[in-house]
Amino acid sequence: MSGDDSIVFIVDDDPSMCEALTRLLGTVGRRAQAFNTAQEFLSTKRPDTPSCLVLDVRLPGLSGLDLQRELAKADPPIQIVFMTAHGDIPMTVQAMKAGAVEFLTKPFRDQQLLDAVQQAIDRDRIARRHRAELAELRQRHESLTPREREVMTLVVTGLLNKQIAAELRTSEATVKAHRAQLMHKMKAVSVAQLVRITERLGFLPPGR
Amino acid sequence: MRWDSVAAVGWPVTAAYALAYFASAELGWALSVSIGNYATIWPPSGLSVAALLLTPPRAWPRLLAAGVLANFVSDYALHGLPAWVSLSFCAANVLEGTVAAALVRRLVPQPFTLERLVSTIAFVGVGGGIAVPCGALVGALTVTIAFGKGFGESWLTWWIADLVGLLVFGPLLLAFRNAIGVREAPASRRRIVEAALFAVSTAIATAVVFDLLPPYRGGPIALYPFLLWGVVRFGMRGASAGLVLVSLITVASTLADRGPFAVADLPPLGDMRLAQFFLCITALSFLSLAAVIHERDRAARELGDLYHTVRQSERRLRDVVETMPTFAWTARSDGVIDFVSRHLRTYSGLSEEDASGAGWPAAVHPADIGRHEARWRASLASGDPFEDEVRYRRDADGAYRWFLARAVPLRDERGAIVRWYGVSTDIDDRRRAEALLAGEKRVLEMVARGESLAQVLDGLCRLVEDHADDVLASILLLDGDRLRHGAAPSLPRAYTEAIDGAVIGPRAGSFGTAAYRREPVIVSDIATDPLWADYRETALPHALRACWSTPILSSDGAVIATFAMYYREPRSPSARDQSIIEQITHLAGVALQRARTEEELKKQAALLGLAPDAIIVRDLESRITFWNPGAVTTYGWAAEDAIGRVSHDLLQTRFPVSLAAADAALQETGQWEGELRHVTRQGTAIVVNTRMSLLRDARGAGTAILEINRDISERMRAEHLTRQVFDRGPDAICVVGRDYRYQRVNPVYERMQQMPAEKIVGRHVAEPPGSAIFEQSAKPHLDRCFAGEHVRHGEWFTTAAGRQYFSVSLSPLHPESDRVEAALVIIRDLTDHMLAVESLQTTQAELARASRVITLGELTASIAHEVTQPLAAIVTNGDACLRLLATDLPNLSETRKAVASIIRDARRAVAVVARVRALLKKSDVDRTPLDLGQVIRDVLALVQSEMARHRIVLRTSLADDLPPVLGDRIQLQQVVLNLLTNAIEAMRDVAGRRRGLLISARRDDIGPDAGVLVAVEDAGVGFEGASVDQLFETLYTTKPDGLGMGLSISQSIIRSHGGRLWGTPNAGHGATFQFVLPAWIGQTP
Repeated sequence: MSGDDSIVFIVDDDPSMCEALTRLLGTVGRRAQAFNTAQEFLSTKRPDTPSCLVLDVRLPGLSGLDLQRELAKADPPIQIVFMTAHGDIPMTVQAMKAGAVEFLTKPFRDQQLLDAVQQAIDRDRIARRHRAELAELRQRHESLTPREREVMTLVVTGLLNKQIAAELRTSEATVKAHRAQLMHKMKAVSVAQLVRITERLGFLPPGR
Repeated sequence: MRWDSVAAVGWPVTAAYALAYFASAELGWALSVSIGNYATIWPPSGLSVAALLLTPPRAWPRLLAAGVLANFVSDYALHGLPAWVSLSFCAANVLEGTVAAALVRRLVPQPFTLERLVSTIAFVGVGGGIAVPCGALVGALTVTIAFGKGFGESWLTWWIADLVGLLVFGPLLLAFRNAIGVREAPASRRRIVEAALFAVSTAIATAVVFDLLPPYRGGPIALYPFLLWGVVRFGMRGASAGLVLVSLITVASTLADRGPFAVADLPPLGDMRLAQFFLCITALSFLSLAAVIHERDRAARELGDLYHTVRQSERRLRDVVETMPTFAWTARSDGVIDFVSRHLRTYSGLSEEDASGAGWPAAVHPADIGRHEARWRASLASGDPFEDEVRYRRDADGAYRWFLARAVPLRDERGAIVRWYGVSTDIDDRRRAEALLAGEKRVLEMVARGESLAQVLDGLCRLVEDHADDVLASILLLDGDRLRHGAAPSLPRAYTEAIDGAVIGPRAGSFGTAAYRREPVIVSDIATDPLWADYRETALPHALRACWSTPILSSDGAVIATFAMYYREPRSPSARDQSIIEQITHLAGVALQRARTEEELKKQAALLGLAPDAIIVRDLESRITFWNPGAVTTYGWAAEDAIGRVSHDLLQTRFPVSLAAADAALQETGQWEGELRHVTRQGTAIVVNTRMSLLRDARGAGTAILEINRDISERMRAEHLTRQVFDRGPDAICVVGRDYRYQRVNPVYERMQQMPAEKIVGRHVAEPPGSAIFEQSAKPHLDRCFAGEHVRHGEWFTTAAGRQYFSVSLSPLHPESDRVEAALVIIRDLTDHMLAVESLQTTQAELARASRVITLGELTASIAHEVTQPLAAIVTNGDACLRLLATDLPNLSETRKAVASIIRDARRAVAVVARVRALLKKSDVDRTPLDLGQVIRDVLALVQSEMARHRIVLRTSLADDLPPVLGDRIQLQQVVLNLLTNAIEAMRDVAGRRRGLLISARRDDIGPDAGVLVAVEDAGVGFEGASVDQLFETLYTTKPDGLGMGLSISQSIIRSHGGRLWGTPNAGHGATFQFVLPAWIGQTP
């Protein structure tokens, strides 16, 4: 709970609320940064650490929901915890559908908030890890030569080396060599794994 | 010697007469009978009467005196008569002479001459019959008294003697003095010899008869032949001379008793009487004969002279006729020609015999013979003068020439025609000239008709060809330095095409050279002339051997074309050819010039047709003679309708000055310009700017008036409009120049500045407001405007009238050029507007604020937000505190901060609540007397746009006599607004019918007091099943978004004002909500 590099962003037009929340989060050792308007938050550069956003729905200028929409477009996405002085069901539903972590009504119990924040940070962490992994896989794929990519494409469709060689009008030996190389590069130990990598990368082979 | 003037009868003549008288008296004495002194013949009688007849009466006294003297001397001195007797005798002679002369003078015209029979008879009759007896009377008386002789016999003797003297001696003197003043031609020798012979022979004969021969009674008769000889050969002179001789010898012989008369058986006086008788009769006879012969002679002479004169005239006439260069002829009354003048004979080759016979037709052109003869016959028959144009054949070459033959008849005194006299004049040249002129006229007519140039040129060529023989004419037009084909009706096409476009020059054929040299060029032989070197081969194949060319000049001497005349043989022009060419060339110049001018005129006329202005020409009676297409457009009358009409009537002209004044100005200066009012065909009145000019003829008299009219109605309207705008518009307008000075101001500006225009114009804009303000506000705007920008701004100004809002607009003005010369500044006073806007904005803000505060839904939301915030912060801070305290070493400083925040936020929450309550309580203090009508109007202003957006049709019925109501303006406005809003909402979805909203306010009475009833009626959805009570329940609403607070709050406001609010559904659609409030009766709350 303490000592990690995560940060909690707070956007609320009531400075008292901002102050109180910052204090509360401080009691559990979380870092917090508060903004009074959505615009301020958007224009501030976010550090690349796990983070989440605690957002009041009713804001001057850009409303909370609007901000959510904006942030959904942005990359990387951020986890949001909504709060409001008065809520109605349509607003809640809309926010949750758009991917919010939690929707809290003021005044809320401290534990509610802290749990929501934890959840959000965790989500963010996972998301980050996934993104990093994907980036890694992509990089590996980039390092393949074009020939190797071709071979990989055909390998994941379940073709034998012989068939691949026929397809590419080359020798089986060459194919084998390519195959070994690409498996190494992609750090895959089996065809099944290679297939999974391909899926993750989004290069699903056309069905045969 | 002329004796017909007194002066001529001078002393010499008188003396001569006296001597003659004396001599003749002595002769008388000598011849008197010795017995009794009877004179047998008294010569002085004749002498004196003759002398008196030859001289003027004024001379008679001296002659008579001379005679008397002579007579007296003779009678008294020589013959011893007593004085008184001789005087008496003188008196008798005087009497006789005077009476005779005077009477004869009366009877016979002067000068007296015996050569007329009448004169002779008068002489004899008066002299012998009257004068002599009178004188004899006196003489006889004297004799009777003096000598005692018988009166009768004395008288007779005296009478006869004097008579004989008169008859014999009188004529003698008269005959030899007959030629008065005329020198007689000396007689020829033969005549003198003959006269002498006659005198001698007569004397001898007489002597023989009376003296030598035995007395034979018939003897005296033998003297008659001699006397006849004298009369016949020598006239009166011969007669008188013969008579004198005979008389003297007869008397002398008889006195001597010799001769036939001296017969013994007669008394002594009887023979004398016989002799006297013989002498008287003889004298009378031969004098008469002489007179008659004289007269005959004279007549014959005159006739002879006449005849001679006539013959001479005739000869002269014939000479004239023969010499004059006319052809004259005469014809008898039956038409046969009997004289033909020499020229005509020579010309026609006819002789007179030929002409008189049937030969004359040979000289006449066969085609004319029939007509000519017919006309001649007709004239002969009718006697009318004859006239005919006919061709005579010229014998020399057989050519026929035209003559005009005319003849007139000569009539005698009965009117019958005696002769015909005719003259034929050569009119051949004239006819040719006429033909040429006719040809020229035709060409000119072609030009005047506006026929094409090609046709005119063709006509000219044909004219030349008609009047000059064997010629082929052509015309080439000069274009720059090339000659282009104009016309050549008879030349071969190939040739004309070949020379088309030839360049003029010193050796360019006849035509080119003529154009180059600007003078005629004659080439008699194309084959040899050097000028045709370049064109010879072109011309010769077409058999063209001679070419004469003349340039055709314009009126300013420039060559515009050339004539070229070709012949098929080498030849040079005759004088006649040249004259024809000259004439036609001149005509060609005129025609070509005219054709050019025509083209120019057509162009100019077309311009007139294009001109948009109305161009009218009218004569001095203002009748329209020309009406251009511009006038048709301007006035709507077609040309045929306008021409001939009086322009002032047609156009219903109205002059700014009188018509007479305008005409006078026009006559004086020839120009008039001004603005008129005209009425078009359609009846529209227009204003035209007219410029009139007087057209004058060569003498300077006015002939017509040219009017150029431009319709300036639009411009005038525009100007008028502009003026109206400037003068009468509600805004203050001024024009400021680049020098920041006023150029023009309008009346509103004057009022604004509270200064007359004269004081403002010219002043610098900075002057009234002060230069600082000018620099700050006016100058920057003006500068922007001068730079070409349209500037608009509105500001609050402090003026003499207080604080005012002006909207100022500045527009750049470029009156003449692209440069901005001035700024048009328009200032609109929007003070009231702005104040109203401000007040409205204030009202709106208040109302908005009020509505936001009063409407419970809003209120709740605002409370919720404003209170929840601090409360939520408090809760969170509290949680934070608990957590901070839950550790082993609690963070006390942070905890304290948290607690301080909690208290702060709690106070904030309290303040919010307090503020809300305060707002709610506000209402009780602000109650004033109100005009509900105005309250309603204010609210209507606010919802206007809302109603427009929902297409609500608003009707108001606000009475003027509403009593004032005491109340809170804001709250009551809120109520009205609530009702209106409800009504609008109710009709929001109404379709198919009118969204009518009626708001009304009128006096009403509730109980004993007066009041105001306000009603809002809509055509909306109505109650929709709810009951009245349900509507007014708190939170009840039919509106989808509503919170249901409106009506209940409104009701509580009305109740707190002492009134009542209720609603009823309408019979048709919608509902009506009404409230009633008590009128304020002047009490202060």
